[in-house]
Amino acid sequence: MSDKLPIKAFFLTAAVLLAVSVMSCSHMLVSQPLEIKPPTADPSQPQAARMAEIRWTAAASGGIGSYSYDFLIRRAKEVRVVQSGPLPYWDWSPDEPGKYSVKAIVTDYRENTAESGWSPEYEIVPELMARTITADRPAPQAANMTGIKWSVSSSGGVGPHTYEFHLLKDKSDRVVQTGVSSVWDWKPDRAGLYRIRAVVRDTLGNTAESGWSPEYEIVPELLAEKITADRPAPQAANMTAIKWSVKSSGGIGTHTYEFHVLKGEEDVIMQTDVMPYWDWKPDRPGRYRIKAVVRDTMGNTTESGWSSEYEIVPELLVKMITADRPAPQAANMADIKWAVTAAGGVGKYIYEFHVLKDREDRTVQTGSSPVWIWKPDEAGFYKVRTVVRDALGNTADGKWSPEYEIVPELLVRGPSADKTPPQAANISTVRWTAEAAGGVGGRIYEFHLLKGEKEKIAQTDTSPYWDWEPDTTGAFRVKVVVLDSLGNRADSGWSPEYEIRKFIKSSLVAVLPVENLSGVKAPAKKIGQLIKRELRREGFNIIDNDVLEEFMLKHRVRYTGAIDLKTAESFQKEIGVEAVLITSIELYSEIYPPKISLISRLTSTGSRPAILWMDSVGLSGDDSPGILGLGLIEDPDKLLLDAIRALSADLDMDLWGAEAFSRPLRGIKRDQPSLIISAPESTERMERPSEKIKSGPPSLVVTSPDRTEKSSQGKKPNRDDAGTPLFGPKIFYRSPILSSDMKYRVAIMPFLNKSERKNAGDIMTLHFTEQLREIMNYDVIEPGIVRNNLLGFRIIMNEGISFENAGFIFSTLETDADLILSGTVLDYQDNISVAGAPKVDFSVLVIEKKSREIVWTSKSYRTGDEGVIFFDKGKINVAHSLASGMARGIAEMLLAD
Amino acid sequence: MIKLDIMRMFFTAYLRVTHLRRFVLLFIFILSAVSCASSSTPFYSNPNMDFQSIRTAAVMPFQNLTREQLAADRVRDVFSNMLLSTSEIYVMPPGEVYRGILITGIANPVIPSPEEIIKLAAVIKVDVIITGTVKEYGEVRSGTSSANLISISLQMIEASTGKTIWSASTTRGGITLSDRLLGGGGEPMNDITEKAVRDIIEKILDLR
Repeated sequence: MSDKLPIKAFFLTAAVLLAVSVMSCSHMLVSQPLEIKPPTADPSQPQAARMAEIRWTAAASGGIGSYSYDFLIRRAKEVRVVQSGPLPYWDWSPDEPGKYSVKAIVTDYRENTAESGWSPEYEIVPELMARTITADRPAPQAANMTGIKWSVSSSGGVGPHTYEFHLLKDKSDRVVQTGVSSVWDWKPDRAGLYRIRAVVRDTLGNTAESGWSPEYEIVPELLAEKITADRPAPQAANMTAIKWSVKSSGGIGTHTYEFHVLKGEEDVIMQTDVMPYWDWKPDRPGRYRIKAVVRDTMGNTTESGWSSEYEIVPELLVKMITADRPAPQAANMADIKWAVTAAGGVGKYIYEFHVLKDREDRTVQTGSSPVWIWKPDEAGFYKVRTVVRDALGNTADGKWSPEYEIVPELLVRGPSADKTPPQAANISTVRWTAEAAGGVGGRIYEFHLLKGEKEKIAQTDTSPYWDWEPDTTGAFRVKVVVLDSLGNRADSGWSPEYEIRKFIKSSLVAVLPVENLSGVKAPAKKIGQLIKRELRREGFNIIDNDVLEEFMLKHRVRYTGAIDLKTAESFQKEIGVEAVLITSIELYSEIYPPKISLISRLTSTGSRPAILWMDSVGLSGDDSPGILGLGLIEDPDKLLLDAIRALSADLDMDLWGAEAFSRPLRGIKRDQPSLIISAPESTERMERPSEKIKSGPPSLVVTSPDRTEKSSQGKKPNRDDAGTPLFGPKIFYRSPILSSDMKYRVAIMPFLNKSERKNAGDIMTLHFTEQLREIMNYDVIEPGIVRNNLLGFRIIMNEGISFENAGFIFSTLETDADLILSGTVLDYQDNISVAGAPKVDFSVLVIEKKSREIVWTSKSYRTGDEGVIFFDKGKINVAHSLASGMARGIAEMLLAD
Repeated sequence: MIKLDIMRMFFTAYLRVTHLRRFVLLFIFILSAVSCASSSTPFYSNPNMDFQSIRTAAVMPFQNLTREQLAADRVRDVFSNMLLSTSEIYVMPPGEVYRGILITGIANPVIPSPEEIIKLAAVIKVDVIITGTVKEYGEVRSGTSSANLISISLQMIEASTGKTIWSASTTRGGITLSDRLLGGGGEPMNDITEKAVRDIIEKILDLR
């Protein structure tokens, strides 16, 4: 547009010059009317106020001479002359918008005037203006975080505007956007101080600037580093706080941190705070991921990204500690195993056992073992607990156990006897007392008896007393083992040796009047006196005859062939007699050759009469005639004295041997067992000792080898080549129930006497009593007790014993028999003169308690001359020897294997 | 049976030897035949009775037809013991039998009636009742010779019916030729009693 202006001016000038030349020529010739056309504007409308210079040109013709021009401008009704002069044009710079009209008046030299008329309206629009540029967000902002809208408003000018946004940083101005949009969306990517301006341009090229904005700060971008935990995974739930922290930079103002936990697909915001860390206390096991979202004050956010999986294992827990034994327990007696179970946590555990007593907490064991063997050594009330640590050091405290009582240690003091040793077997009762303390609950006292190397449990009871009724001789030791209710044992240790003798010679002995079973008149009183004399000579303490007679009178003791329980008790209690000597005359004959048979026994008194000793003798004057009959005895008194001395010597030897058991014996009559189990119940006695050994405790020794030996050393029976006793019965029945391994308590009934010999039944009873007693398998009941029972039950056995009678006898506690031996004597003959031979014929029947059946029957028949081979060699002269041997044979065969 | 076998063997040998030897053998045969004074009668047994079913027996007091007072008791004693010693039959003890007799009130126990036997068996719980008679017991004389002799007979009565199911008798001992020629008084009484009883019991056992 500006390039066209010089060209127009040139043509305008040439036209003017041409017109002047024409006019100068014409006045000379004929002048033309003066005329003028309306002025024209250059440039054309519209134009902006204060933005353009407009040349109005007027073209006049005619007239004379030179022209002068007046330019008039009209706005609304206001007209004013804006220029007068020779210039045919007017350069106009409008200041105010509006609609204008221009006209020119030309005057020539001759003062001719011509008016052009008003030009068309010429519009002047308002000036182009650009206002201050503004951002939609206040500075500062963070790089790469947000878009900032810069906008500028403009007015005036002609036509539509265009906008040019300039960005200034570090004196470098660059156009960042040009266009019709008055808004610039700025996304700064670098930090720094910026200024922005806008240049507005209209269609005529008019420009207006907004001017530079104030400095606009762009801070660095908000960034967050990877989130980190202060503890490595795994960790245990509820056991620790894990500090998650994140580092951030950039952004505007202070940052806020939002910690997220992802478990599965669930994202939970756990903490929002200005602190860049989060103390996480996980309470549930699982696999987690954590992230942090950082936000600045402008709301810009950035994330740390999810962490790798972080495992939370179950919480370390300690279950209740338990003991393998219930309280209470005894100190020093038991090992109590405390065990604890832990779960959860990480890695291996360390267990710390604590014991609390009297408010004092002690650590008693630390280690990897979950078991603590506690050996409490002091009584009191305890509590136990466990502290468990896992590999990460997490600690779980177990609860205190309930109070656990430890009672004092079970102790027992050695048993003491109420009587000083020595004491007599089968007579004395020695009370052993044990003192025990401590332990749990009730106590059981086990009294052990030791003889030699053989030990047995003599009593197991809750009583601390044991009334020992020794029935064998020897040196014994006693100890007590106390068991409490938990089975704790306390051993007293063995007592000093306690000596039991068969009989104490100083004990008072009553010699009962001699019983005459011979069936004929015999000097019983004389024999009794001789016995007393011989016994006194041997050193026995024989009770005074007057005292004995008074006692017998008081108790109306008429029968002197045996002693019953009541009389035995009275003997001991009232006159202090420890044993009675009962002697029976089996045979007495003064006819040549004189013959005498005596059976004697010593029975203890007290509450349990027992046969201490028993022997018999049967002598005939012609037993040992020798050469020329020098050995014949014709004097019955001499024979009687020999018989009595034989008995008293045997009694003395037997009892003396027992009294001096530590010294070598001169001879042994009856085998004494080392130790014999004497079961309290008769049924138990029927058990096989071997079975007891198998089932009993190892320490229990129940053997009596000499007891099962069915032949005594003093009286070895004659046997045939097959080993059968020579005097054994030819006809017999033996039940397999009977066993040589057992011990039987035998009640021997008076034999039924069908022979012509008076008292033969009683005599056979005595023979069996003696012979069975010789064998230790049998415990023969004192015949007086059996007799008393028969009288008590009013049992009269006309034809032998019936099962009903046997039942009565078995039922009594006094006898407490396992076997009942009964029999019938059919013949019992003694030859009174030289001629003839004795004859014994009897049958035996044995009934067993449990089966109530016959376990033995036999028929025995022997004569004294059966063994005679040559000149009466081998002849038996008295039935006593025959019957004794026959009884012995049955006794042995009864338990033969 | 044993004697028949011996005789059969003897005659077989007799036919095989010479005349002189035949004379010697004939003498020995006659001598031994004379010496065997004992004899036994055939016995009766009920063919319908199952003797194996007999488990328990009661031996009643024997009837004594001899002058020896204890003869019956002695024989009964030997018999009871010997029968029990076979372990084949359980024999009630005499005392138990006596108790049964008292309870049932048997007037004459040596020859009880069938009704009494049924009652008794019910009391003492036995399968059979055995009764017996001692016909001979003791020394017998013939001229200057003497020897012991026993002769007994026994009956077995079924307890449930009171019927006799078995009966036998035997005689043992007596004067033999040797007793006549050499004297000596024969075998002891106890020995021949045992032999006689054994003979009887063998017959009982043969039935089982």
